[in-house]
Order: sequence, then structure tokens, then C-alpha cells
Amino acid sequence: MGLALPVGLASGARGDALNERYASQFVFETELGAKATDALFVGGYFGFGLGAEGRDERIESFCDDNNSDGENDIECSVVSLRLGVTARWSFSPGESINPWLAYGIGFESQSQSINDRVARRRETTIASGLEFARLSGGLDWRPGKTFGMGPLLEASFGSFTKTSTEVNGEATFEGDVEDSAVHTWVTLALRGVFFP
Amino acid sequence: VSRRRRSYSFRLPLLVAVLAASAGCMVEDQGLPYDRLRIAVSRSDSTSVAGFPRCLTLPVLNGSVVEERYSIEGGLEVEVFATNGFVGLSFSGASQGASVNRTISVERLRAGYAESLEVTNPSGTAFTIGLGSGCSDGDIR
Repeated sequence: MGLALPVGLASGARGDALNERYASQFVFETELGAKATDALFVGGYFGFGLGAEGRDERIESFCDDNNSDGENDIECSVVSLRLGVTARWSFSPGESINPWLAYGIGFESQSQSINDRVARRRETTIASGLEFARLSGGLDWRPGKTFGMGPLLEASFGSFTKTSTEVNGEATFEGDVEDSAVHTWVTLALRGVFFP
Repeated sequence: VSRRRRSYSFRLPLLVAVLAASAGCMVEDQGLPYDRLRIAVSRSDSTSVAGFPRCLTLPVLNGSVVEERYSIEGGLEVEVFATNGFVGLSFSGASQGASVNRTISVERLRAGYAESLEVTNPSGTAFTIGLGSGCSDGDIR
């Protein structure tokens, strides 16, 4: 689990930076796989993230709870999902301190919602596409043979190619992102590993 | 004098805070300030066309899209493509071709946009398309 920071462009449209759409996210991810050799792990990953609206001033002002009735009449949320395959190379697989590097590729989806409870209008837009390079490196500390842990730094490069919008549950658009661009999530996380 | 000054310096930030909170409350209590486009259609004899006026609410979020297609009459349709930055209108089946298509920015909508277009369907029937910022209660949403 860790913190992911948005960098780059959500699309090529004017002003559509990733951090204008989405704030930093708390991400939780799990991997399952096996060691092909002592040094090489291959497996799959599944993760989700929770965040908030980005730096777009207009959206940010809408989402702030700025009256005193104790509840937010304009609710905003961002949820992300990730799924894919990964390979990790351990440089000291039998040692108590093991540096490693990894590469992954998979699917990414970001779902953002704004729920106007006063007007009874809920708008949700989902952007999805391929994360073509998830590059990460870290250092595992293994006090025993069953568990290890350590910090990791990851940069995942992707592009949104599909988008859909729903208003009050009805699809208002579903199609390709006409002007797609490359974005990056930079993640600093703490990783735990069983049977390293 | 000293007490008065202290009292004044306390009230000013309080007043600013109350005004700022009130501005926030307007959005919180009245809902979001949506950008809207009204599309009205009438024939040359001023009779209105069924299914209009339409009220299109532009999406709020970056990346959101609203795409709609409204049938007018006799093969004439208006296709609407809206984001939180602009709304584009194109008329399929219009004798005038692409010259009647429009792209309207949210800045123009917020400034108070109004325009009237003359559009003819394939069988030669003329329609007046009235476009404008904001909607009325009776408009179809």
C-alpha cells in the first residue's frame, strides 16, 4: 500500500492534466505468482485506489463541504482499479536484504463521480486504458523465511483510450478518447511479501 | 480606543469568513451552477415542433461527455456533443450542410448566448432553430 501521485496528461484536450482531474490516491495492491527461478518472480496483480477530485478550481470548489449543516450536499469521489501481469528480478534472492526491479503491464480504470444531492444529479465518468510500463524498484528486508517487507518506488506509464459517462445511471457517452496522451502515476509504497 | 481597534480587527475577518461561507452555502444549498443550452424549434408558420424545446445540461467533470441526437422532422436531426468546455451542434439532413453547425464555448453560454438559425430539411420544409443560454421550467430535459 502507498501513495500515488498523478503526473502528465489525462488527454490531449486543453488543460486536461491528470492532476486537474484526480488528486493523489491511496493505493492498495496485491500480487500472486510464483518464482520461475530463484531470482525471477512472475505473477499477476490486482489493485484499487481511493482519491479525490484534482486541482481544477471549479470542481474543487464544488466538492468542498462549505456550509455548516454537517453533511456535504455535493459529494465527490475517485476510485481506481488496476489489473495485470508483472515480473520481478531479485538481485540477492537468498539474502536478508534483497534489492529488486520489476516490470508490469496491465489495465487501468479511473472512475470519478460528482453527486449533487440538491439537484438529484449524479455524474460519473470512467477513463480506462493500458498501463504499458509499470517500472518499479525496491529493497526487501527479510528477517525470516516466511515474511519480508520494504519500500518501493514505482512509475507507471499509461494512456486512457476509452471513456464513458453516466448521468443518473443512464449512459450519455461511451467511446474512444479522441486525443489520448501519456500519463504517469508515481507511487511510493510499503510492500510486504510472504515466502520471499 | 485600544479596545475599539481590537474589536474592529476581530469583526473584519469574521465578516469575511461569514461572506465566504455564504458564497459556499449557495452552491451547497442550491445545487451546482450547471451550464445549459436551450434548443427550440419552430416551423415557418411559428408552430412549434413536438419534442422541443430541449434543455441540454452540460457535464461538470473533466472528461465527461454528453452526446444526444434529437429528431426534428422529415429526416432532419440535430446531434449534440457536449463536454464541460463546449457544446457542438451539427444538423444531419440539413440542406445548408455544415454551414449551420455550431460550436459554443461555456464562456459564451455563461455570457448569455442567443442565436437563431434557419435550417431546411431534405423535403424543403424550413425550421427556425433557437439556441440560447439557460432553460425554462417547461423545457424537456
